[in-house]
Amino acid sequence: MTETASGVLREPFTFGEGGELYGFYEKRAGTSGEQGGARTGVVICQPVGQEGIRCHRACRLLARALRDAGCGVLRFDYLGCGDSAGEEDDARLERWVTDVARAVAELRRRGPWSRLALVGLRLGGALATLAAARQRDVDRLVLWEPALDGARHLEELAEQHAALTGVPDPHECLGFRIGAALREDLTGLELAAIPPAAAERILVVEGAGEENGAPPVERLHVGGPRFWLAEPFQAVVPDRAIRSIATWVTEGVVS
Amino acid sequence: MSERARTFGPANRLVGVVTDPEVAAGDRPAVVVLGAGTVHHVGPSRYAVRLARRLAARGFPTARFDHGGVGDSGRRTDRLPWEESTVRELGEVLDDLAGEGRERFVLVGLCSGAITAFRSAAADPRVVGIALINAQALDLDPDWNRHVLNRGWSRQYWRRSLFSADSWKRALTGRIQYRRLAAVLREQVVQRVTRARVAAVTEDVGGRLAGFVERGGRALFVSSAGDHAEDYRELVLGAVEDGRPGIRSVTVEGSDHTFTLLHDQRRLLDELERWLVEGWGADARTGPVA
Repeated sequence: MTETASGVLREPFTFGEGGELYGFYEKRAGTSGEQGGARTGVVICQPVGQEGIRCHRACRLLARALRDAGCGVLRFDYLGCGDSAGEEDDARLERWVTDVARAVAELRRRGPWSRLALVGLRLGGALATLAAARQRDVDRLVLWEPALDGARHLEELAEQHAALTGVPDPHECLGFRIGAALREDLTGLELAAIPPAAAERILVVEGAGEENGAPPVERLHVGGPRFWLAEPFQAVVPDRAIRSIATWVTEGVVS
Repeated sequence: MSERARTFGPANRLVGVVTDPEVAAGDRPAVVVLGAGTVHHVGPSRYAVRLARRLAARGFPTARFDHGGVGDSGRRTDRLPWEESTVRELGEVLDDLAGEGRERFVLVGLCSGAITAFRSAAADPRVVGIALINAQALDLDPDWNRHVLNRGWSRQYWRRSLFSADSWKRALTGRIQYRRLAAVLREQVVQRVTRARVAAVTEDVGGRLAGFVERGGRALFVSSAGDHAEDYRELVLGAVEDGRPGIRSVTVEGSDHTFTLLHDQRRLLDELERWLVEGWGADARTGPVA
């Protein structure tokens, strides 16, 4: 763990079986529940594929905002993604949900935490929801522009691929393979209603309204561009969403 | 193969991943994959990760990392310009890898990474090879770059547009970029004013490349057909003695600037792997790349 001159502790590391998962952990030195206020640990569940590449900066900036608000924050790559072992079609959806659980366990190891939060962006939102519903010990769940309908997500990926090539490809989205098993998993993914037991409090952050009547869900509509479609060099940063998520996770209020 | 996340630099501010082959194959140089623009260290479409694992199977250790303020690396607190800070940070990474016993390095850079690789190669004797992928702006002189880019646009207009039915259709429907076309034509008229300066920069860039290969370095230029990198490559290699050994040039048809699609990325990785194996020893188990 490295401590910077400004008192930030940062650590890239590997975890999971045989160190097959890549993770990055950060917090401010001195972050402690003894100093008053809840000590919150956060796992950020990132998108996959090209959306993961495009959203890396947004997730990093969200992690920084949460860290500076007093949280310990863990970002990680699922099996077959980012720096983790394997290729994306090596994994099944179920494996990725398990990876979220592994990340939560790794975060707990770095605790203790008085509050646990998951933030899931795009498909990461579905994975965070499934993991939280299974674990039943998540205090706060944030679903950020979540992709909760797998068939619809596959259509979106096909549209993104076709935007570059002119034609959709069922086996690839912009440099990332979609294997038959993963496609089958995504086709079967349909979280029409977020399980109410997933977390004590749930916040959905999205730009366009979607009907989802599962209480107690709080909703925040934010404007701005669909940053998961912007190339990294365009440096599109969803500032308002980042600030709002950090405030809701740490203070429980929507700003 | 094993991979480990680590930090680099005197303040441990830079973050990256080192990939070590299962079997160390002789005295292979370590391959360092530089960041491309604002994409984090996995590279566009994760190419840096796939390249590292391919090379590990060939006995090459690799490292990939984020420059300051990009990906997982911390921000710089000084005001050093980008072209200097990236070279300095690369030097810190090489220093740390040298501390692990690595003595020679091959740099792989795509887009902005190619600029850093080229600048470092001229100054760091530990660098024995550079793979420049879609390299543009090998010198930052604005007149020189404007000249090269205008050459490229001019070639597109005169060679393709005049003979393209689609281009005429776009002209008639108002979709041609008339401002850019006017700028290109205007630039060609005033070009003679900056011709001496352009020649001087070209000679300087060519000289740096020539100096690198003269001391035993190897250079690979990979360009996507139609990318402005082709224009830079043509100009720079034109300033270097014809047929100079140690320089290879490859054009990949149909790919975009960052080799986004799987098919294009595979071709890029094939070229890189072939060049590395041919340059620094065939694989004892499987032989050269077919």
